[in-house]
Amino acid sequence: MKKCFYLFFTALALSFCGCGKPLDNVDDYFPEVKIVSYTPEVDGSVTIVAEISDQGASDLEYVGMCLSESRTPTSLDDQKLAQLSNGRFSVNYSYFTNDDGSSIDLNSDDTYKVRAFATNGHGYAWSAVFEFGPWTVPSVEAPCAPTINTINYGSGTFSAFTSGPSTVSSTYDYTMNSSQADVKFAFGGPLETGVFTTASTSGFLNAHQVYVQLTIFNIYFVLPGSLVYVNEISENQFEVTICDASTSLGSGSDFTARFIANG
Amino acid sequence: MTVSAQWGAHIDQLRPLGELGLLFEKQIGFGISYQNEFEGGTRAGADFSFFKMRPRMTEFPIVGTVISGNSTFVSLGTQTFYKYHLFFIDFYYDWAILDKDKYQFYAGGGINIGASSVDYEADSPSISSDSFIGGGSIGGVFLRLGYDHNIGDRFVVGLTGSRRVYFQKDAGIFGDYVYRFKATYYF
Repeated sequence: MKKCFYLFFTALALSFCGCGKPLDNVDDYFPEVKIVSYTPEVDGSVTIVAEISDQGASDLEYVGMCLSESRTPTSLDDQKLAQLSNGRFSVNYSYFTNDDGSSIDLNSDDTYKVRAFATNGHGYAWSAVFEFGPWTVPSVEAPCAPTINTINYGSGTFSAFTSGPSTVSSTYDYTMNSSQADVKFAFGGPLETGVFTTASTSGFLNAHQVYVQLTIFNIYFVLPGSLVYVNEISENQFEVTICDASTSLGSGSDFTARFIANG
Repeated sequence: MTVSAQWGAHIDQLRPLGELGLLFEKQIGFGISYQNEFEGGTRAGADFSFFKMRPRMTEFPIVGTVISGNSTFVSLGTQTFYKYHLFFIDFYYDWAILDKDKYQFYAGGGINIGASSVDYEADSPSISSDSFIGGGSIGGVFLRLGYDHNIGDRFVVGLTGSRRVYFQKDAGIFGDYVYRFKATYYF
């Protein structure tokens, strides 16, 4: 009876042991991931898409990417996690972190290195290093088409004279002067094709932010989050458009303008 | 046969399963054994064995996570094994299924105790970097099937297959198959 109990106990212990036959190829335990594409965005960022070709011998846990300007990226280099959808995931990068810890906007004239990774219950795997850049920012289409060198706010339309850029301050400033209103666009970086986002102050702008100030007796500004569309229409000549932007002047004072200026 | 006990030497092949099978190749080991002869269809014995395990990768990928509020950082690190030795003593009890003058088929089971001797280094960026040199105790159970062939009066060769599961302190529960070729001399 004792022997039977002992055998039963042993068989039970063996059956509970998660001891499957090992895989012949140790790499088969880990996921396989590869980067399949990158897409420059109109805001100056880049979207990178990766694909899981094999999840390995257990369920996936995390997927993501790491980016570096100069070296093979490790998990410490601008890691971004992503959500898997139909075997693919994407990450958008608009900046990278320098060795001194400062964030620097991606520059479409430079090259960068990125690696995708995927983890599962057994470990993780990197993709091959994917190098991208330089790239061309796609042209953008503004949702409005005001006359060039005009300012529209409220119900009025005014012709304007445009000057710039001025780099007296740390921003790239363009000014539209009209009989009724003056407008200043302070860009965080030199003009380039893309979509810029308005900010509430001209301090600490990144390369794709712009502060827009209106002087109509008093000083007002375009509320943060509005979009400014910039297209390079010829060598170093840019068309800048802002459409129906809300201002600190209050309701009924939406602001639209377009000008052409040198970069 | 007039003797009741015998000493032997054996060569083994350990085939690790599960997590141990991910980490280590199947490995040849060796050892010595002591066992009684079958009396009334049963016998008891003990095998001591040693295995010098060989890792399947130079560096194993290991994952750590740091969760802070809504943000998660995934640390992608490596673990390197410099040494992984296993020592076992299997105490067993066999039942003869077929007991002939020239040969015996048998089934058995038992318990094992042992120890590991380990040297590894693990590095998880921004989480930890540590190394370990030491060992842990092992304890488990097993079932086995075997065949012994008598050569003359004092010499026996045999094959045994064991399915073992054991708990290794600070490491977890592991399992393996051990195939053992044993040559035994009756003193």
